[in-house]
Amino acid sequence: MLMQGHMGEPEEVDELRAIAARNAQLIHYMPTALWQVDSRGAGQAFAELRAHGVSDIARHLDEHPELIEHAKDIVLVNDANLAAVELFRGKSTADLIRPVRYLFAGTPGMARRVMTAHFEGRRSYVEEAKILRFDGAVREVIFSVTYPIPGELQDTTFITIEDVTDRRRTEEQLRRLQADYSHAARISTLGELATSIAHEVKQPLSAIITNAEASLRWLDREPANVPKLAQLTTRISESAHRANEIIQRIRSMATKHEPERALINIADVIAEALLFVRHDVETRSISLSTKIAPGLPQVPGDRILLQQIFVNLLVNAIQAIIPLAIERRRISIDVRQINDGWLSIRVEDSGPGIPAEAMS
Amino acid sequence: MARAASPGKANAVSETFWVAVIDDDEAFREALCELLHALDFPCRPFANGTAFLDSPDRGVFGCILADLRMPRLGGMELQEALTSRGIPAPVVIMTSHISAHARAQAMAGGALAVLLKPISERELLPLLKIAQARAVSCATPRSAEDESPC
Repeated sequence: MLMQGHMGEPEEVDELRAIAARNAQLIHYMPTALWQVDSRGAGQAFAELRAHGVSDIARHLDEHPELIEHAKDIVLVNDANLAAVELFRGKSTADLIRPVRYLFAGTPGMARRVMTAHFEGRRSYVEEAKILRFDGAVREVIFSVTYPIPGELQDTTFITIEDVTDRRRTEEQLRRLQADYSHAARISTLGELATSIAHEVKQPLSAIITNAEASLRWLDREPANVPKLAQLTTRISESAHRANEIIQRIRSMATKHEPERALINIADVIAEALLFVRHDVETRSISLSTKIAPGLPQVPGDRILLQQIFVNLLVNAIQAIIPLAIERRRISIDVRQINDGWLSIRVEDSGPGIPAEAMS
Repeated sequence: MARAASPGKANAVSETFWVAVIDDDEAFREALCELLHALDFPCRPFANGTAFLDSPDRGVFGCILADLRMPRLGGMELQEALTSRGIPAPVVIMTSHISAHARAQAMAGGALAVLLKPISERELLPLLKIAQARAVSCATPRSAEDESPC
């Protein structure tokens, strides 16, 4: 697309002109929005700045923001293709052939960065930016600048702008969907665990009610058995704390939360996860062995997310081995240190395993 | 506490009406023992059905309150084991949740009743009276040699 060099024989010139014309046509109709910018003004200004000993252009522009504003008015768009007209909602190419200021209207700070890259002799510059269309709409774009380098056309800079607004919106929706999905997946795991959890909460509640009934009996007696009442009240309080703790755990597991990395003790996380499935493991007569090597280092991670992983693994394991005869129902958890700072965690069940085609 | 005494040494044919509480949840079985104690029923706690069956005193109880689901021998399996060993004590199954089918199964297996946790004194007391009446009738003429449940 870029042509330069000395012209030879007349036939050669004609041929080159024909190629140039064909290229111009191609550029005109290509689907990427493209601008051709006459940057001779900027080139001259840069040369002067260098002559005055400026080497840190970013700092210089910070000190003289008027230079940027000036550049936006003296650097001119030479040409733009149909896709560019369409992107900015112009009527014709003529609407786009004017100073570059309008290209930076959506992201005014970008002009400084584009100039800096040019001054530093970089080949190109890319930024995710916003543009302000002529109809007032703001669009998210990828703004790419290709600078001339010595040996090419010294005074032409190419700009391509790709509208990514719709893509970004789709990505955002996808992200939200994924977040909702993992939330739903967690909730449905909780659904399966509901009986187990209800049992865990109901036990201390039953103890509380029964202890309270016993207390009322003792209060009816003359004289009231105060040490006995004190003992029963203490137990009521203990059971209430236990119920509260269980509810707290369920809540922290069920709420959406941003991952929080902290140093955690993996043995604690596994113990908490086991609490969720303990009832199932016991009532289904599953033999569960937990081997946790002593003196494991703490590891960075999100306690709740890891806990969810273990609960999911254990729920899957339980479901996989329920069809087996009682004496064959086994789950083993094995945690050990494999090298500096790395832990290996194995959760194994005696189920049939995952079919090979499901692994891919 | 009542359970501190050994029921085995108690008057064998029952002036003392012992109640066994079998539940894997420690806080609950302690609480139920306390309630029984407050109601003047001596009680002994067991952590599961197997622990109860292994106890040399297993034959002395006038009533057995057993949780439906326990890691080692739940209430219904215990009921079966007792029947096969000829231990006639009435069993009350306790649970926090039970299907109609399982309830019917428990009753068919010979349970005195199925009680939903939390256990209320109002429901428990009449059952204990029934068990006590049976124990008394068992203690009289036909006594231990009789094969039929008392």
